[in-house]
Amino acid sequence: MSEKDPLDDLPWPKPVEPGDAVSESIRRQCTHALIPTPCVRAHRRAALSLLLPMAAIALFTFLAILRGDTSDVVRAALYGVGGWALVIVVVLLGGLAFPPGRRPARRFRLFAALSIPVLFVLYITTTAAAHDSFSSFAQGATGYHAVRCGISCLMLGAIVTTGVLLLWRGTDPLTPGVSGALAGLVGGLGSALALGVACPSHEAWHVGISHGLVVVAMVGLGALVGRRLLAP
Amino acid sequence: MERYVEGSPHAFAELYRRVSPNLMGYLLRLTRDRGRAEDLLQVTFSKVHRARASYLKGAPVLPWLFAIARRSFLDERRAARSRNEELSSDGVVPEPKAEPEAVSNDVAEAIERAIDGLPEAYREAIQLTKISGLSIAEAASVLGASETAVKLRVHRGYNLLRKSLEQFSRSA
Repeated sequence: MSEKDPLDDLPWPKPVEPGDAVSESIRRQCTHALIPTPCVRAHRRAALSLLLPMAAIALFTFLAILRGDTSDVVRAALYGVGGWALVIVVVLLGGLAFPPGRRPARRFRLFAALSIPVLFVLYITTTAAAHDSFSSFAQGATGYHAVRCGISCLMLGAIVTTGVLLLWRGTDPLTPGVSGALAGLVGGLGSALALGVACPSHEAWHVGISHGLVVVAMVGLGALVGRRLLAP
Repeated sequence: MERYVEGSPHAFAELYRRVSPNLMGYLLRLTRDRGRAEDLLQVTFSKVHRARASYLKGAPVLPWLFAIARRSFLDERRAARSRNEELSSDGVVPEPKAEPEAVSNDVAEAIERAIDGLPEAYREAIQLTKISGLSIAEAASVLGASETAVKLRVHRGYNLLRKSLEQFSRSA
């Protein structure tokens, strides 16, 4: 398009005044018993959102310590948790801590919501202490433990994700799906890290499926629920 | 908006005075029906009123309001489709007829017709940027598209408009 477009000089349609009756009805409805409402700023909501996964991680770390499990594995797990907890902070700061319209571009936030779960699964499977074949993992007690662990992780993830989504309820009419996915990412990572500290199994299939895939599931769940819950 | 959230009815009156004509114009362009547009304007402000506590301070108000209006329109259209209301004989939801607006001259009428004749994506992009006065970035956030995509829609819409108006000037 050129600098000066001939279409610029056209008499474009003017804004349209709504009917008087409609305007009066809207004014009456929106000013009736209007009381000041508490307005929590975005960065405070982000700080509260951080508390939820951190509380889950702290609780499960405490349980692991209570169980007397202070082996190298727990120390290694905690080392990983520190790094990934930092990722949670960055996701909250970059993805949600500003009001809609002032957040980074949708594509960057979407990229983070899709790529971080993949990186997390790759990280926990490649750094796992043991690498069994899938058949030996799926059989007997290890398979049963993986199912039980996966269900616990899903439930904890759903609780944390729901908490984060409720904190941001009705705040984002612009990109509610992407914000929901990021809330799911925070909840899923918090849950996977918490269970990762307390879980006695450090086998690649186990952590990949029972812990890692939960993050992917929570991102999907967050995007689906967020589309409805985060839009006013 | 922040003063409205803090409970000032005067702030709401001022907000309504400033944004309602633009919102009404946008909804009228989407629905092409004054009654439906006014209903949707009511729904939009009702949602704004209910969600005022979740307005995050510092958020740009216009994109926030336009996004709520657009979502209200899409929800209403989806609901109408799922009710299978007003289906024509071939089973599709008929496009509402453009409301005859008071126009000052033939050119204005031709522009109205040309805009209404555009595909929905181009029409919406032109309405938001050219008529409602949103920036490309704001329009992109309302439409959930990238800025490049909105620029492209506006550009293509312009080309189609230009062709329509050239035909109009030839016939005139």
